[in-house]
Amino acid sequence: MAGTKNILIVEDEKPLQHALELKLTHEGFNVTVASNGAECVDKVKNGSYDAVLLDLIMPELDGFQVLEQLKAMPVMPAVFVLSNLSQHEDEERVLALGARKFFIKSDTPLTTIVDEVKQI
Amino acid sequence: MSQQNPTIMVVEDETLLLQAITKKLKFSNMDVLSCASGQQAVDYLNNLDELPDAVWLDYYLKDMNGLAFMQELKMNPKWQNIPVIVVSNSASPEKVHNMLALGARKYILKAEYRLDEIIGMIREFISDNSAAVAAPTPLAGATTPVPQSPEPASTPPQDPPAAA
Repeated sequence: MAGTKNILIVEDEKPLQHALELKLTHEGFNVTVASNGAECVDKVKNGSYDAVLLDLIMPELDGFQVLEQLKAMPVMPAVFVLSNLSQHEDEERVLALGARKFFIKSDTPLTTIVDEVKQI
Repeated sequence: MSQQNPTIMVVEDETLLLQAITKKLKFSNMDVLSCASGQQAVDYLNNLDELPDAVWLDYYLKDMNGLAFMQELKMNPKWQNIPVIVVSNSASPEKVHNMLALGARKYILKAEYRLDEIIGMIREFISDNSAAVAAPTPLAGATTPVPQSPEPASTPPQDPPAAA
């Protein structure tokens, strides 16, 4: 569909991955999922995404390592980091690595995340 | 029983512990939904298309205690039969009694077990529960009595639990 935005969800917790996928698909986004950091980097290298929802604690490559690789790419998609880590230094680090926004999962309803993605 | 991995929602506000529990549960072939607050867990339950097979609940959370969380579950007909296992640092007789009376299926005192042992008990519980949803059986190694059938929230357990 023309104008449909492509979203990549990178989340190793399958129930949450699926809930986000359903909500964003329902909002009309074209959604792809990845279950670890390496899969995310591979998909971004070989695809075109308007936004990436990125968990931080994951197998293979963690979210910080993923951000380092995405930042080195010619075009970096908008990255929204979602994490249960709530240290201020984690937020500073992901923003310095080019993330657009840092969401602490425990403080952020899923609808807020979806609303933010709708702004891109 | 579904061929999928069982899903367990872990509600624990100590994030390092939450990460450790999550990692070990995943190594035990369980799908995990990790929540660092009670409100996060409620939000996820509102948005999941399939409910978890069990909830691992810390009693003291930063935004609500275990009783408040159990009451949230019991108020929603869709959630009231989700098995809840309380894993806590604190187990006064009153607290244990109140949680079991509200429908918690087990109350585990963290200090009495290694993490691997707790995970083993949870795994066994999910397996038993999925095999006999209508008549759950007590867990091996249980330190507190498990109600023999899922009673309404207002019904107290048959035997008042001893202090752990």
